[in-house]
Formats: sequence, structure tokens, C-alpha cells
Amino acid sequence: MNKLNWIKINRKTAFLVRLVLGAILIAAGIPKILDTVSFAGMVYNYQILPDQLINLTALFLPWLEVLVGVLMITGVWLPGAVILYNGLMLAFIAALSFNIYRGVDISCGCFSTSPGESIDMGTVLRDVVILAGSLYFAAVVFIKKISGERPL
Amino acid sequence: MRMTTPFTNALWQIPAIFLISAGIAFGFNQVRGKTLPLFCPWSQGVSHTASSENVSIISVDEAAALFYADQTVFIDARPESFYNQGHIRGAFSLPFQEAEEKCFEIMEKISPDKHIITYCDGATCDLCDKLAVFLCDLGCENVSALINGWTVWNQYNLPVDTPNS
Repeated sequence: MNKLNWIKINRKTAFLVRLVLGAILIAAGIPKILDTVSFAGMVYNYQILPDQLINLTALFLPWLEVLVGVLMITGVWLPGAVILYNGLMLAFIAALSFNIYRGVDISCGCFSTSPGESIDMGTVLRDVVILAGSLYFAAVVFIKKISGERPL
Repeated sequence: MRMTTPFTNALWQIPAIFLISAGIAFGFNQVRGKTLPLFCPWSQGVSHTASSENVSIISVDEAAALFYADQTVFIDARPESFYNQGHIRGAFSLPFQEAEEKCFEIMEKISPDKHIITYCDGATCDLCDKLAVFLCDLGCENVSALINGWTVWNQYNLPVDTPNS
């Protein structure tokens, strides 16, 4: 396979990864926007943030997720969006791992505000897979541009 | 002409995304029906409970005895979505976050001679404490909090209402 084909495959893969990553974040943000009160309770149950930041986080985080997701799908402001995407995934993985380590049995609040979505190693693994995708796309955005290729 | 790289773009895009998200989030919160207060003293319940003589912590055995004697009313302090997934049989939903709006609607349905037991879920959840203190401050007598109520009630296989039941 020559170099040109590799680039085409990478461009297609990167395009798909970008769409999937964006859709995931939008799907995660919308239920929290619709039921902010329940989501605030979930943020509180994580017992990581001080009281003063719980409602602010519950209000701000879902919209940040949706906006970053929309930017990923539309391909606008990709350098900023992909850095924030990676930052969000790292923060989620850290928060989940910390509470699993402490043995706190709480709802995830990842893709819904219903109590049935508890946290376990499977939840962390899912986020690690998403992080792997966003790291790959960060490499596409930052490294390919430097090497002179048009970013996706 | 000065070259822009993804790195220099990211430097201004990240704060811009933060600002736009914050603007939409707080703007939307102001115009939506259920406005969430920006600050809420989430952890005050425990200290209030300690200082309130009228609110007691009740054990699941005592709560079950009152339940079977039909002398009590349970109030679920969790968000309504949790209540809808399942709750102690006959319990009313009064999420702590919405207590001020909905309390009178619920209190009208409760006979004054009943012992009120608030509960939520999780050993560290203190929404039931806070709600109990709130109801006490409203003038309710005989209010108790069942700590980790939903979990312990299920552990004892006591009656519950679920969407399937």
C-alpha cells in the first residue's frame, strides 16, 4: 500500500473517530441539561468538589460537553475542542477511579441522570477507550498539521 | 505574515469555549422553568441534624414497626427520577432541592398525627437529614431521618413500590 492510500485511510478513520467522539459527548451532555437537579445530586455524591462548586459544575459541565461535541462534529475550532475533550475524559476517569478506590457506591451520571448507572471498572474502561480515541484524534490534529498535511 | 499553528489556535479557543459554555449554561438556567441556585449548602444537613433536638435518626427496625402500624409517612428526599425508579411503599416524593416549592403540596396530604420519616440513599447521603431539618423548621413535629434508607429498606426486603409493581 503506498503512502497516499495510508493518508486516505487515516483521513477517513480520523473523520469517523471525530464524529463518534462528538456524538458521545453530546449524548452525555443532553440528559444532564434536561435534569440539572438530579445531576447536581450526582456531582455531590462524588464527594470531590466543595459545596460552592457543585451547582456551578452541574450547570456548566453539560453545556461544555455539548459545545465540545458540536465543535468536534462540525470540525470548528478543533485544536481547542480536542484538548478540552482529552481533559474532560482524564477528569472523568480520575473521578470514577477515585470513588471506586474509596469504595463509594454511587451512580455514574455519565450518560443519564437515572440511578441505575452505577460505577465500576467497566465504566472506567469505557472512558479509557474513549480517551484513546480522543488522543488519536489529538495526534491527527496537532502532529499532521505540523508535518504539513491539512488537518481534518 | 505570522504563521498560526494548532497550538496557538488552541490557546485562544479553549478560553473561548469555556466562556461560551458558561454563557449558555447560566443564561439557560435563568430562563428555564426550574432554575437551579448557583450555590447551595449541600453539606449543612449533618451539622443541622446534630444541633436540632426535634430531628432524630431512626433505625430501619423502628421505621418498619411504624410502617406496619400505619403510624408513619415516608418522604423520599432524592431527585424525582430516583423516586420514579422505586421507593418505599406509599412514600411521597419531596426532593430536597425542590422542598421549598413543593412542601406545602405534600404536607396537605399528610395527617398531622403521623410520624414523618425522610430517607435518601447511600450511607453518605444527607439529603434526608436536610429535608428532616427543613420540615422541622416548617413546624412539623415527630420527624426522623432514616440514613441510607432506600438501601437498608431493600436489604430487609420491606415493601416497595416500583414501576413494575
